Amino acid sequence: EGVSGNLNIGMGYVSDEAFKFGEYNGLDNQGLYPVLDFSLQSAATSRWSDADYWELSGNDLGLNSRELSFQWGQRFTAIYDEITHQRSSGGGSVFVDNDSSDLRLPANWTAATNTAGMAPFALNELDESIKRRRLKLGYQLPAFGDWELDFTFRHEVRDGNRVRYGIIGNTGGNPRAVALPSPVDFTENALTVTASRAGDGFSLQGGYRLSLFDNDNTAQSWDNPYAAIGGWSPAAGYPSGRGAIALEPDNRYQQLFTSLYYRLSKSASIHGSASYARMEQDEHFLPYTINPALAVTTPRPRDSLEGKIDISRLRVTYQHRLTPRLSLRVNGAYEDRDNKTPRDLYIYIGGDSQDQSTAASSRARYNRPYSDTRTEVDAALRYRWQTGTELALSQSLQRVDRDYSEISRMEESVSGLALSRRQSDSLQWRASYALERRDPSAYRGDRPYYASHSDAYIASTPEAERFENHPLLRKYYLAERDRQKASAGLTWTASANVQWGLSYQSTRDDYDKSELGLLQARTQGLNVDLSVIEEERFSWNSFYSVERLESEQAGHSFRGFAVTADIGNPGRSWEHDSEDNVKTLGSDLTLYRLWPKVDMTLSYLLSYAVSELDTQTGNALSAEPISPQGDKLKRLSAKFDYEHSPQLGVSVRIAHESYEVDNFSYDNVAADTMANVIALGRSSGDYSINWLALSFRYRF
Amino acid sequence: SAESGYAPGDPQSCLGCHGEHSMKPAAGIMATVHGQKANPKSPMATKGCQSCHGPSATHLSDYSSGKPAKPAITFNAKTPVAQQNAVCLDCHQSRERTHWPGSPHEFAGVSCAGCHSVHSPRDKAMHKNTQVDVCVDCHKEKRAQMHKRSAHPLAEAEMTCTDCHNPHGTRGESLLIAGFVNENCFQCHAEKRGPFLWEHAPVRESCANCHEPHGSVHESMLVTRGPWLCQQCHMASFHPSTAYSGSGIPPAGAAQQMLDKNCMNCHTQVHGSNHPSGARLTR
Repeated sequence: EGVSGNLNIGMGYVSDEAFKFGEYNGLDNQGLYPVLDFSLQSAATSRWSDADYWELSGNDLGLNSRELSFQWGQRFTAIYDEITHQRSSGGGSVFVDNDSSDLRLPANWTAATNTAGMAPFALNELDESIKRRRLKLGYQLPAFGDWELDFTFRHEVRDGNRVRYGIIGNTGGNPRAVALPSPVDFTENALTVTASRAGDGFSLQGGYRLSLFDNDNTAQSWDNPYAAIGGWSPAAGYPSGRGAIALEPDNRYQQLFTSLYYRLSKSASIHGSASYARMEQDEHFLPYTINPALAVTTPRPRDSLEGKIDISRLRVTYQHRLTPRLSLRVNGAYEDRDNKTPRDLYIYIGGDSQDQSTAASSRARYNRPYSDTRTEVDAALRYRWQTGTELALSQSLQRVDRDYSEISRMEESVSGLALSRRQSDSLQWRASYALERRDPSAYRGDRPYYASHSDAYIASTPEAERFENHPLLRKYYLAERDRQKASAGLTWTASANVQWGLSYQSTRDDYDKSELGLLQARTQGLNVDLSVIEEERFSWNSFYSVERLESEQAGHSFRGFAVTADIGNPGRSWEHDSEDNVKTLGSDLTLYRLWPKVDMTLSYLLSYAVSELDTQTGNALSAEPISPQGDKLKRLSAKFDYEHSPQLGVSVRIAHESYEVDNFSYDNVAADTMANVIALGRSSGDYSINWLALSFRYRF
Repeated sequence: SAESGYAPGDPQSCLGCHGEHSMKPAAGIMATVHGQKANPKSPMATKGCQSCHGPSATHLSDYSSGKPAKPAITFNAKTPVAQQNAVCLDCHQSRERTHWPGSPHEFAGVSCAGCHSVHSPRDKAMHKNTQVDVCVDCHKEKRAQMHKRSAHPLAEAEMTCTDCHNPHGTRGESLLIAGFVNENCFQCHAEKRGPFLWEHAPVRESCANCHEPHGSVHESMLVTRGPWLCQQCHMASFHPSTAYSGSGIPPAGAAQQMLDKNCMNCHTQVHGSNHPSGARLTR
């Protein structure tokens, strides 16, 4: 009495194991699994009385994507959910214990200076997955005077394994790398307290947010599987050599925020918000090297970073309905990210392999705590005709000032136009166009070089070679750019049961002033959808999308021993074009009462992507073609729901999914394919899987 | 209610025609928070259906004609959006709606009823398994993106659009809950927050410089495949400026800058390093 609910219980079966199939849905293991879902809620009748509303529900309880939630009125919510992310397919590491933060090689390891010289080695199978468990509590205090108070607390634990690579040796010269199963043992606690008050023509909100991130493993170390090579200290090679990497440090984030909405008149209002946040990180540093045999003559400038970034933001929006048909909106925004992290000179040791150098070497580097300040103003006008036509015009201006960057100041303007019309009760259409112009100050490609190297090193370098990147390179996120965005769409209700949709969108980026780097990028997409619904008989929803993403970039190969000669040699130039074509088709057909008491849903999904990659070079270089890369996912599924009675029912779900992928990153790449990298020997992950679930539903 | 224009017997009399199996069902509202008579703030605790639909005595009085007068306020194209939304905002102005005035959806004339189905026992926009369907109804290109090879688990209903976006407006860009790209991403990826000793400039500025969060055909939702993505910003001597092609792929070759994690086979700390020897983001 007073409680109603559903229970769905049964068994499911997955025919095979594939990481992509079970990437997020919990169906990552071959075999049987329990199906269990339920919900309990205060019965409808009780909502007519004085009883409070509550609901308890659980979904996918038999899988590691389970969720359990409880809601009590609008006051209290508790949600616990799990999700496991399967990250890769097959493969293994050369280390004995894949779950350790201190990785050790097997006792019989045979080292060599590269993989070709190593004796055949066994791989210790690796499950690269991360399980995320999250508990979220929310409580709304019914009233605190005229204020409403909300509390949200989130406790989140992530554990598992991810792969990163460990390097021994100096980057660019003599590096050797090995795949490391890297432990993930993260905990985050986050609290948000919000006070809100709303009245006639105004609302106020203010609050505090805190997030504490904790990593149980702040470092990872490993045995060096390579024998010492020229340029390394002999002690850096196997068996005495070890490597160490810093894992993600603990950090803290706090934010104070407030906002105000005030109606100035019947037609005008103002809305403002402000926030002040601080990010902090002060994890104790690891030593320059884990290898005690390597000479360290200059100590670290500090024991921990004392990293701190203050972020201040202010935004004001004024909105005015100038006439019943004409609306104006004006925005002003300011954001300052002030990185107060101390800046010091660190004389680093290249990959735990060499004695420390001096302040006059290229390994003496200053850290760069990037700060930036943004100001933005934008205005928009919208006019609505009685005929159902709407026109919107917008203009925005943004300025960004940066530290330690090739661009000290960037200005960007965006002009937009949008038109829409309700042509008739059955036909609506819209179209829009926007032009974004990014106009940076003078690009100084050598600014990071001067900001990061020591004075002594800079003085020892020929003036003509005081840069790191080719002087003609323009980084795409800083370069001068014209972006054109266009879109159009229509919705046509052909009859009471049939609706069509058609939309197109295009973005084109031109980097006309860039000689090297990204030169052009273009994305186009076309979407068609159809919905046919016959009440209580059937519904059919389908969509088809095609998307093309193209980019064109240029490069210039040069060598450190011949910088001046190489950078002027046109034969060393190269171009790379990329074109991705993606087609997606989805269709769901539901037939109600296909047979007496049986509803059936048939679904089909096709996602098909092909990437064409082409590199062309000048006559001093050479290039080979790359075969098309891509993947194809096909899924056909059916669901049958038999309603034996309003209380009892049976559900059968069947699916077949296949996946084919061509990816040169993993295809034919064994653990020892690369000379200087010991990989995992993973596969791209083709599969063909059948899935079946049978469950009984009881409603009470 | 005895007030002028209001029909008595609400909601029972309304549900007489708008029952579960009627042409315009509305009975589902009784299974929602709006149907709680016990809650003094709910519509059912005050004027019932007419709390939102306005005084509709005329609508009820001539229902037998087969084509009765409309209720005072209807939530469809016949009623100006601002008028529809004013009804909802009368109770729902605070909390997540604080930033609604002047927000992109408000300015574009999106109605509350355009996304929410308050008559349904399960509002699709509020339910984890169905919310994405509501959003992609307008944002159609996102529907295909989430089925790409690398995407957040939206298609699996393990995430929702509102995990990242507040469609009612926020303090910053793209209706992001935290207001700004990186702080939004850090809500689930707090380990990347730092600050780090060795920062990667585009990472500190915006995760979206390298990642397409709605889905990509490239690994890790990257906007372009490595090593070419990295080479759009890094063109130093030797391997960063090398022309990579099929000669680096088996059986022609095995370039460590192309296979497996490509550049990240060595520069594994691309999101930032806290190692004093990590200046090149390798440690």
